[in-house]
Amino acid sequence: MKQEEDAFDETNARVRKYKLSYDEYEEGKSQQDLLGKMIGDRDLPGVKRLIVGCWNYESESCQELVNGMVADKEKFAYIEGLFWGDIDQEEAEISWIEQADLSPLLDSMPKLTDLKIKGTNGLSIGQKPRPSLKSLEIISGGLNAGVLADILASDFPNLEKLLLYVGVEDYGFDGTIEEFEPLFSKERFPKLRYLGLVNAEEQNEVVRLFLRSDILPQLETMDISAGVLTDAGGQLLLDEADKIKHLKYIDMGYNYLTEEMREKLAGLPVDVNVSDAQDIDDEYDEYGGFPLITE
Amino acid sequence: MVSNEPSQRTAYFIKAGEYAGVNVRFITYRELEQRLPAYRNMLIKLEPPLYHQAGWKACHALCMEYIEWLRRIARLESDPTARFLNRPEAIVHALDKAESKRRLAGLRTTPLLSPAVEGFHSLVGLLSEQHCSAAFIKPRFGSGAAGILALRYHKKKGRFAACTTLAQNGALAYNTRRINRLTDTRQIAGLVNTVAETGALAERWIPKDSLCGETYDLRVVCQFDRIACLAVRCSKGAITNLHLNNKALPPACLRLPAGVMDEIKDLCIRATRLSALQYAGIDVLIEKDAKRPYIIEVNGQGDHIRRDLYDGNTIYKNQLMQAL
Repeated sequence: MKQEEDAFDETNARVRKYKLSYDEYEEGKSQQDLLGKMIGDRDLPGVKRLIVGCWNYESESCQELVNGMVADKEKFAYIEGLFWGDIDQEEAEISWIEQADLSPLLDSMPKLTDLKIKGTNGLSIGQKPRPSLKSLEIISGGLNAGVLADILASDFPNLEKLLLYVGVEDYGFDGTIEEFEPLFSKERFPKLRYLGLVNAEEQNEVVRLFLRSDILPQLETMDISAGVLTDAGGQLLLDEADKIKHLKYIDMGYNYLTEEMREKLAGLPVDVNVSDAQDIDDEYDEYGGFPLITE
Repeated sequence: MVSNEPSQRTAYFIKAGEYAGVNVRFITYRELEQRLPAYRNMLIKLEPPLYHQAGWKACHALCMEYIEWLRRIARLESDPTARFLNRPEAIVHALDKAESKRRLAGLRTTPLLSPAVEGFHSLVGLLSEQHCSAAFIKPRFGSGAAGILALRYHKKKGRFAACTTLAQNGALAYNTRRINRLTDTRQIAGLVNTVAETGALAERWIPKDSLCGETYDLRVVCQFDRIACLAVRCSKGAITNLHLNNKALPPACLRLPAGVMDEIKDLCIRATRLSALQYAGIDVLIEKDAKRPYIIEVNGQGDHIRRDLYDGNTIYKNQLMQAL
């Protein structure tokens, strides 16, 4: 399987993660303490990529932390990568991570090239041009319409990678797959090379969006992983093999493809990942499978 | 070796006997009870019964029946020279999580929120009061993942989410062999009430350390004051028991500081002693960030590690050699 370089590899000296540990939280430490830890870190000026982890263990919004960082915004002016909400399932349900309006914080990071956000409750990234941004990834159990509206109303002329986790209605997805169609536009994203719309119940429909888009010819990677991709979706790719033969990689990891279909897809003249195939359990999966991140 | 029917455990223990030059025989509980004096000079290992019931209340009833049977054996055989590998009363104490916690006082165990959950309503009050947004609700009696609920509470929104092996079909709560995720408050309340009826305790949910993107805990087999085996149990969710198709990794994958490993070993040896057991399977969690070990549970019959069976059967072989 093709491994992307991890922009937020914590072993890199220029990457630094700040969070409240469970212990600290139990001791009564708050977002102000987390802010103090960050601002007071002598190494902060050398940090290029910032990871912000758990700020609260009771599903509180991160607004206080954002406000504090914005008040000291000159300290973050040179940040090139931001992973906001690096919180795992042991710390919080993804769909219960309470975000905030990150727009003022993003405004204070003019050199930001990589933005990754986990959790979309109460999230806003603003609606404005962000010419420095090259990679945007939003992980969610259910992407809400407000976040999609922000992306569509913003301008990312230099974006090379866009990866969005669609999710399910129970965890906050309140739209339809068709509402994502404007993203599949070469005019909107002239430099996009990696497009992923993943973790969707209607993953087969996502394949259709790719195949009928004008952005497909410029892409190198099609990411349709982590969703309910079935043989019907796989067949669409086989039927339109000419349209996808220029791709370098198609990620379909975590899927509902049969072994026969996986073999056929492996025969495409493109590097593909068809690992982690799921079985539909008739007893439990009344909806015919579910995406990877639905908590 | 005593159980209600032969199993993989009995087969491998018999093989270990062949290795050690000892004749190991399988007998049923009934046979042991009827002829206990005749077995007085033999070494007796009490294995858990195999349950074929899925209904929660039926499972609980079988567990209580088994505990009662162990108590009866303990009363029948009060001669301290009787050679049980683990004495029945010590197994009973380990099967009672409230009693087991009491015996382990002084060791770092997962923090108790309540030793006796009355029901969903009072549990919510307790979580609110304690500013606790995540807890494990565990049946007081028994071992393993059956009946456990990993519960999260979003106080502001009044929402709940739970992961559990339990499922509900009409009025019947039953165990499944998969982890179900529930978000319907009525459904969660129903299951909490069902488990609470049979006796349940609540513990704080300490965030577990992760490895290769999955959370893990440890099953440490300790026997005769030594660590016999350490298995790393990985899971994508909150419940790590291996029979639920979760993944086992060798201990070499752990990158814990030597001091933490020493602490784990020390905790497990002391927990086994305090539980008056000669061998035990001890579940240990490592707290995220702090890398601090906590004892989750002591299982007086938890020496069954499938990987070890195929990899030399060393636990059973050493157990027999040392016991003899």
